[in-house]
Amino acid sequence: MIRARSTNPYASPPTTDAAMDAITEKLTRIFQDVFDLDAITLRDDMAAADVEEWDSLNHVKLVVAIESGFGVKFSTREITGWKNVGDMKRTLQSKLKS
Amino acid sequence: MMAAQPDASLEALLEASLTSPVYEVLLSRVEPSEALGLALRCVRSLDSRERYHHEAAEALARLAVRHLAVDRDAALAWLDVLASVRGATAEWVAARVRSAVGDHAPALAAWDGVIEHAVGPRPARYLARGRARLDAGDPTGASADLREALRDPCSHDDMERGHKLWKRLQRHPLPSLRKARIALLGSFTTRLIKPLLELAAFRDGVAAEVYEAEYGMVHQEVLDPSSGLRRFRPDIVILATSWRDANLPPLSPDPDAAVQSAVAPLLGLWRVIRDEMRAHAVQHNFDVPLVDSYGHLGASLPGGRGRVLRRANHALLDAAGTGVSILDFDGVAAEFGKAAWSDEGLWYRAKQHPAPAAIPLLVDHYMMHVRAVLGLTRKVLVLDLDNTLWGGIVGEDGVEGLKLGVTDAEGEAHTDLQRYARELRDRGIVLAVCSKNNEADAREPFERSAEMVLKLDDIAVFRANWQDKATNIRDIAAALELGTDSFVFLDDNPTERAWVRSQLPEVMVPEIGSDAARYLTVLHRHHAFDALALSEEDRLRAADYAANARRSELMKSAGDLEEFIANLQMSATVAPIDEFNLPRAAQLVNKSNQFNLTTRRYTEEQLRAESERPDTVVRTFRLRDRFADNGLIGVMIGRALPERSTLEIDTWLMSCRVLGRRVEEFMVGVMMQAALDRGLTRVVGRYLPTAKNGLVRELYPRLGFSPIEGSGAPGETAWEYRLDLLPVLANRFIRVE
Repeated sequence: MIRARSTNPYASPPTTDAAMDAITEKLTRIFQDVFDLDAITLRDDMAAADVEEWDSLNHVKLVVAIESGFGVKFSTREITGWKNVGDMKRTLQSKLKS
Repeated sequence: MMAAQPDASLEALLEASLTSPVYEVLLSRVEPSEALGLALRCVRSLDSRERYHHEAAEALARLAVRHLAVDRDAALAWLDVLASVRGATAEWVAARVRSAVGDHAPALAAWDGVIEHAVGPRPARYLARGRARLDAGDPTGASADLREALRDPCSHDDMERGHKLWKRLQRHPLPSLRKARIALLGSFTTRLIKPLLELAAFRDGVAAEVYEAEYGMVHQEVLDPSSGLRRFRPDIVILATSWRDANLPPLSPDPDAAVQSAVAPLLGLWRVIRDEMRAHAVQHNFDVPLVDSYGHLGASLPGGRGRVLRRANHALLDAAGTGVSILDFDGVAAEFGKAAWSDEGLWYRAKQHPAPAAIPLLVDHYMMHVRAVLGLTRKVLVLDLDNTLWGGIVGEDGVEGLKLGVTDAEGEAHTDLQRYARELRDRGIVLAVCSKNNEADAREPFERSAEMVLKLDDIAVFRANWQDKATNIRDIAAALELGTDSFVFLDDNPTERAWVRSQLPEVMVPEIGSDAARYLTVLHRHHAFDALALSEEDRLRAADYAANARRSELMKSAGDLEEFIANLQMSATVAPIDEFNLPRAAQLVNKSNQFNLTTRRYTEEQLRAESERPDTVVRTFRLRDRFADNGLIGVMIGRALPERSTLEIDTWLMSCRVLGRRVEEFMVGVMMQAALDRGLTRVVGRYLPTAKNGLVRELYPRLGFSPIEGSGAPGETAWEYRLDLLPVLANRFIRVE
């Protein structure tokens, strides 16, 4: 019932691709929510310039929503370092691991 | 790569992660073929133990909704099975999935159940039903739900979601709200503030059009006559500035000059807003920052930044006159909590101030000023008795058994509520009692208990009986001759609150809960009675209602109406608009609904502008009688049209407190004389019907005016009085002072 490798990935901290997919899934919902879009497909190389709704205001809302949705807090360096969705996901993954 | 059979450890894992954000991440890993089965088991498991966790319910609902697209029939069959599960999680999940199915009737029925059983957080459930109602083509129901969702203080997230529903509602014509044009000028970015302000305005019955300037353009927008702000023609300008605008060093060598330098630039802006733009300015004061390199010396040294900012805040209050009100930004920060007030990261990245979580509270304070400018301040507090004004039930516990006074913790809370009510009364808020009780029982504590702060004399109308409370509140409104839209109702019983809300949605009914210790905090947070200034009339008002009751007594004893009116020994003062009567006149112009011929609203600034026009006659009327000074009770605005030898009555309103004394005859007589003084021989009046002013439909014919061809809306009538043929009306019972 769970897409998994040989062992249950959730027994240990999520470090697998499956965990990354799960982050993408939740992130996608937050993007849809903030951008008020019915559907959006997140790609790792997707950047603000690629999405019409992704302006500076929505970027602020996005960060606030991700922080509250995942229960994490980003540092200024982390946020200003993001170039695309992939960067956001990697930061998130490392936060959720710790 | 799939587990072969249901994995009990996964369910255990889900249980363990119920309150963490991982829950949804875990659920999203479920294979589609297993999704519905697992979701059902989770719902059953939660509901069998009466555990409800909202994020979990939402995640389970999303899982099922995702499956709807894959296999609709299976999802519908699943809903039927879910219907057999009793519990909050099942109810919420079912309502969500039914909404996604798109059949409106079952979806609405499901949401009605969610609301009836109070499943999930209050804002979430009303927002969800609001969306479903709008989907089903019911914008009126949707906006009622949106207001309900916003009734209590909401989080930033809830308000962001509410704003999306609000945006959808903008496409539908809604019942007339009070319109206001509000400009938001920030020295920091206001982009997160604007939507929440629009939403809070909607909640308070104001259709706000909000103009937003680029941040940091406060001075340019105000001072440049061709700016976007000037073209927008605002009624209200919010100057959203912060401590950074004072531009103070941590230690000022000359503290007096430092205070001046912080305040002076703002005074110039106020002058332009008030005198040139004819708008009201709402000025932030300075929020004293937490971080200071001088530490506590910043607050104690004469030139310390904290101390200078606090002095500057006093200077702002001293400098603000009519047309300017100071928003206590530092106070909002304190109320929210200064430790979380600033999100420095957001400031550096996005020039966002304060932190998003503080914005709902900030816009509540904005609306307090907006409502006061528009004259939407509440006037009457209706109080329940048992377990509201005192602890216990007087009919059962007896006067001695009531919890009141300092000997009992609960009693002390009730006493403090009484004291607060008494203080409201002293500043002119009218108190009334509405209780399900035998009248004699209900009065007994007032008469006998030494612990009662409130006395029967403080209560303008006392209704204790077994009628339903909405009917009683209508009776109270009739007795006071005030609209229920100026009422606040306080009751510990949630059923009574819900009933009054459903019958009289315009009455403000705070969710005070049932713990007496918290009543005041909740009531106060609504800022229902906040005004821009305390006028003399406000203080007189409460005494005035008592006088009204005595007048009715006289009415009963005096058989003849003329004799009664003569006995009142009335005298009137007629005056143009001046600085002293402007606030009260504006209040009346904006609040009067019943005796109001045209219901045209003017803000203070607009009224001042009207009074300065050479072709316009503005008159205010004060009335005194042997019982009381009624204060300013009427306003008339007449417009001279010399080419038609006419004075047209643009606005005529009168406080209903002085109805039935032929004051209207006196007022129109003053206008007739003003017409003659200008060489005009005809007075024209119009009646523009509204839902509330049926009282004056026949006023002009009753005063001897003749009908003329009216133009305009259905129901609108026009009337003339020829001064070349008829005498100026007078009231021999009113002496002019």
